[in-house]
Amino acid sequence: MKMTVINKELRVGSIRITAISSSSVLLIGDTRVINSSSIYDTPAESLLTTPLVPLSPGTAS
Amino acid sequence: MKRHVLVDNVYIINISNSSACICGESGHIDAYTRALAVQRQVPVFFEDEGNYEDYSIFSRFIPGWQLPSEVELDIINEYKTIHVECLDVTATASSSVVQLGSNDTMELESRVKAIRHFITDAPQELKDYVGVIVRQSP
Repeated sequence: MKMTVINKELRVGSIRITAISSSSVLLIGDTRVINSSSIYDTPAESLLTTPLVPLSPGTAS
Repeated sequence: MKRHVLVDNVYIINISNSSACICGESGHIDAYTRALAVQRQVPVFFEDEGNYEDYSIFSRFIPGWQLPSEVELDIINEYKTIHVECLDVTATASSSVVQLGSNDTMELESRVKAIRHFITDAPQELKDYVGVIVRQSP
């Protein structure tokens, strides 16, 4: 498939953003490939009710 | 030929957690972040706690697009400049990118595991404590 894009004049007054997070992109310009992924996990077993014991130590510290 | 970018004013307060702010052109951006977000009933945390290998979210495969695309793209830039007068960003986090300028490829990945931890034997003064306590591991 062939596709032709003609970019005309682009002029923006102001951009106001509160937050950009989790693999998001604000790009003022051109690009070719963006591969963006974000996974977020809050399953039932992530709710713990235990005495005050820390998580097991390791790579996250 | 890619377009030029002209931005008159930029205000950014915070850039964190594998995020980037780039003024100008770039070839490839690779940003990766992983995080354990622990909310505890009492605000006590230990210096070396948390092990990413304990949770499958940090190792599982994320499917992506198959490249190259079959689309044959022809881009004609009649104007050579993108003009923005003012850009105001409060915060960026978790492998995000703010770029003023052109890019070729980007790979962004963030993995976050949220844990809510209720404490069964917490003394009342800890439950009422306002602030964060970081301790050495027991």
